[in-house]
Amino acid sequence: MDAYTYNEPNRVSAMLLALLVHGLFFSFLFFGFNWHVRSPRHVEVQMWDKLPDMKADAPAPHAAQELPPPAAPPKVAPPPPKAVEPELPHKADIEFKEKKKKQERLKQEEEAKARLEAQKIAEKQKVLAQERQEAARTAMENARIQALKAQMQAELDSERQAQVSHFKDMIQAKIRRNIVMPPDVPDSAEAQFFVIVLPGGDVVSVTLKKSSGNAAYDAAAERAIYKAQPLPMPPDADLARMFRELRLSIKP
Amino acid sequence: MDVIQDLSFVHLVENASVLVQLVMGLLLLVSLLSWWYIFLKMFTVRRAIRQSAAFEDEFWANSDLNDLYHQVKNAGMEAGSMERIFSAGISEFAKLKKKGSVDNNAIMDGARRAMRATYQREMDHLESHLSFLATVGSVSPYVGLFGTVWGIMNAFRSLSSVGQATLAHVAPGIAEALVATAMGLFAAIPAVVAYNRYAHDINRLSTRFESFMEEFSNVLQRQQ
Repeated sequence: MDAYTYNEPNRVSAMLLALLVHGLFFSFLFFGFNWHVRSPRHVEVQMWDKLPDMKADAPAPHAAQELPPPAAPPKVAPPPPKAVEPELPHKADIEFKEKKKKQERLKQEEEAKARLEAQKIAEKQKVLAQERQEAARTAMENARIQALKAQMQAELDSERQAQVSHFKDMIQAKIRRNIVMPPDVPDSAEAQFFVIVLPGGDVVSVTLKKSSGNAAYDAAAERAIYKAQPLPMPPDADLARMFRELRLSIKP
Repeated sequence: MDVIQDLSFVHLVENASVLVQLVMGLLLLVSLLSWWYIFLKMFTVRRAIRQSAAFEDEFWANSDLNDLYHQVKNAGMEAGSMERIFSAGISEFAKLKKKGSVDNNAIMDGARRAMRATYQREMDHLESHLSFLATVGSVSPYVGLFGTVWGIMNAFRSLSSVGQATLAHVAPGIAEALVATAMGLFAAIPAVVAYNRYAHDINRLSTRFESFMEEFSNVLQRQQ
């Protein structure tokens, strides 16, 4: 019997148990505990006015540059009518020939005339077709420009929307921080205020639009709005205009 | 910056600074080790108590020491601490007796010395790793606190670069930092509890061993 060595049969099981304890601890951290900041009492801020229609005045600087120069109308050079070469007459039947020549000339002239006319008609048709093509092309260009404009508008809109919601959140957060809840406020209570705000964020007036039915709660909400001064306002004057009049709906 | 941020646990650990992450990793390692020792010691101490009780019962019920000695020999590695002490004492006693020593006191002293040596070895075995638990219990809160202080320092420093300071700017940093303290405490509390518990148990076992040694010496003295 060796007195110096000790057998510890539970090494592995102890290790497994230790791992189990840590697994439990971390699963508790993951699932058992909600780390999200979520306050049960929240203030809802609703915007009084809608976003103005900005489609009309939005310029589209890129679209104009991208437009390719319209194709130059191709020059249509009408081919010159063939010159009729006079034949050298014989001495004997000069008259006859003259006559014949005359007739032939006449005929040729007529033919030339007819050819010319045909050419003219063909040219006209060609020009017409080109014009039609041109028109189709410009229509397509226009459609593309329109699409580009619409896309840019949408981007601009979404950016502004993000800004608006960001500042809405900020206002919400600021008012929420300042509200001191009176006791015994039912969860269904909702006070609506009409607030006029200066561009700097100072509150000009707070009007109670709809009482929650609990006077203490109404007063607390009003105090919170005043205490939240200056309300966070977007630096962009265009956006700030939208925040001038706010309808705040404050729910516990 | 959003007003409501993702403060899930993974997010907090991911976004912590490198030093805080190192502290967390260290604490996790220490915590794993300390829990391993906690369970290991739990099994060891329980087994020692169980075996001692069983051996004491057997010792007082069985009057034939030779018979008992052979039983213990057969047990081999499975023998408990008290059995080893008994075995060391009786084998030394038998050897001295066989040598024809006449001095009773010398024989008794030899047997007692052999028992004490085994007793000390057994105690050393039982108490191993206990000091690790004690260290973890006292130091890991400080390590966690160090991580937290560092994290909060960083959180406030980054706050200075932001014009309009809100609680939402510091909250994630502080939450990150506090994870380190939480882990330190998670490592420390069980370690302290386990240390106190096992120290007490081992103390009782050692008293039990010592009284058995005295009683067994008496039995051996009577055998002469």
